[in-house]
Amino acid sequence: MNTLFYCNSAACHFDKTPAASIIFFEFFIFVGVLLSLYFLSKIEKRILLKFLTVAVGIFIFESFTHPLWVNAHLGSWAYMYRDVSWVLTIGWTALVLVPVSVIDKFYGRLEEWKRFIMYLFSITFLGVLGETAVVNLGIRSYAPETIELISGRYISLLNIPWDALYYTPVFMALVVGFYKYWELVINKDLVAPVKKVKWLKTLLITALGVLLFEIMIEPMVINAGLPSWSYIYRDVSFLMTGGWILIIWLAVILVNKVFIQFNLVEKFLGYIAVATIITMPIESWLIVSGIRQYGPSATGNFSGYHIPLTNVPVEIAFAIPFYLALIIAFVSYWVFQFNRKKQIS
Amino acid sequence: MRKLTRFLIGGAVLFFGFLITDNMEFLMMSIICTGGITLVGYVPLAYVIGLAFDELLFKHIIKTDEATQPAKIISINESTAPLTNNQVALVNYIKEARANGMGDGQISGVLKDNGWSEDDIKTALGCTQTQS
Repeated sequence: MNTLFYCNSAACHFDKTPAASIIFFEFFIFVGVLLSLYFLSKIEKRILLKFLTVAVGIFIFESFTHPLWVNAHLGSWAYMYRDVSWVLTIGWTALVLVPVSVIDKFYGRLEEWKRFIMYLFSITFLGVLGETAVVNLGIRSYAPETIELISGRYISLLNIPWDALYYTPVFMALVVGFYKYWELVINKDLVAPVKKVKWLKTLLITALGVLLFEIMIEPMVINAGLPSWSYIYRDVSFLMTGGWILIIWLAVILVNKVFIQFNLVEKFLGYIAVATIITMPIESWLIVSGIRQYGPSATGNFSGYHIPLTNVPVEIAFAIPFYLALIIAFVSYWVFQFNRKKQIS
Repeated sequence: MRKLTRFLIGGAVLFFGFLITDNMEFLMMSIICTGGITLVGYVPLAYVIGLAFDELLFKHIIKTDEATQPAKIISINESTAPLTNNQVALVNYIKEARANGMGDGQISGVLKDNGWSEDDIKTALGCTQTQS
C-alpha cells in the first residue's frame, strides 16, 4: 500500500482469503453468467454490449456506495477497487439483465411503466436472494454507519436487514434506468426532437430519483447545521436534497432545450458536464462551511488529495459525476418515455 | 464532439488504470508537482486510448452511419443564414427516420405530435432535400 495514498477504512483492510464455499460460489457465478449470456444471446441482439452497459451501471453504483458495506473473502484477484469485486459485479449484472430482457421479450407490448414495475419486482426478488447468499457466506458485512441505521432489524429467516427491501429496488431502479437510456443508443432507436420540454414531469421524476437515492446513501454523509424543520428523514434535509433536484433538473432541461440537436450520447455528456460544473463549487462550499460532513467509512477512503482551488476531496470529485451519471440516465430515460408514445406514429 | 467523447473515454480508462493498479499517487504527484505540465503527455495519451476504444469496441455505438450523421450547419443556399439548433435537430431526425423507412407524411405526423409547426417541418424537409 502506498503511504501517500493511504486508506484506513474497512474497505481497504479486510480479509481477502476465500473459503472453499466462497470459491464454489464464485464458480457458480461464472457458470451462471456464461449460461445467462448464452440464453440472452438467443433473445437479444448485441448482448455483450448490453451486458457491459449494465455492468458499468452497477460498477458506478458500487464504487461510490462502497463505504456502506464491506465485501471480503473473495480472493485477492477478485477486486477492482477497494472492496468492489468484479465477480459480484458480473453476478449482479446477470441478475439484472436476465429479467429485464425476458420481460421485454415476452411483455414487450405492455406500457413501459408496467414493465418497469415488473423489472423491479423480479430483480428485487432475485437481489434479495443474492444478498442473502453473500451475507450468509460471510462475503458481505456492513459498515458501522449502516449497522447503526439497521439497528438490529433483520429478516430472521434470511439473516439480511429489512432495509434490503428498500435499497435493492432503489439501486435496481437506477441501474435499470441507466441501462434503458443506453439501450436506446445501442438499439439505435429513433428519438424525435421535442419542441416543448415537459419541465414539470421532469422535475417530478428528478425529485423521485434523487430523494429515494439520498435516503439510501444517508449513512455515508452527515448534513449538519441546517434548520431543524428542514430535515425530513434522519439528516436528509429537503433544502439540500431540493438543491440537488433543482441542479439536475436544470441541467436536463437546459441541455434538452439549448442543445436539442445533440444525439443521446452528446446529451448525456452535456447533462453530466452542466450538473458537475454547478455542483462542484456548491459541494466545496458545503464542506468548508461544515454542513456536509462525510462519515468515518467514507473519510477513511480519502487519499488526502483535493481538487485545486476547492476543498473537495478527489474521491468526492469523481463520485459526483458517477452519482449524476446514474440519476441523470434514470431521469432522462423517463423524460424520453413521457414522449415515447409520440415517437413512433 | 467526437474528439471530446474519445478523450473522455480514454481519460476514464486511464484514470481507472491508475486506480486499479494502485498508482493514483503517481498520477496525482506527477500532475501536481509539475504544475500540470505532465498533462501535455496525459491528454494525448487519453485521446489515443479513447480512439482505440472507439475504433475497436464502441465503433457501432458512437459512430453513426451516413444516414444518421448529424447535419452540418450549412446554408440552404449562400444567401440564407446557417441552420438553427432546432433546424439541425429536425434535419437529423428526418434523415434518420427516412433511413429507417419512414415516409415524409409519417415523419411530419410524428414531428407535429412533438409540438413542431408546419413551417418548422416544411423548412427542415426542404433542407434535407437541398442537402441530399
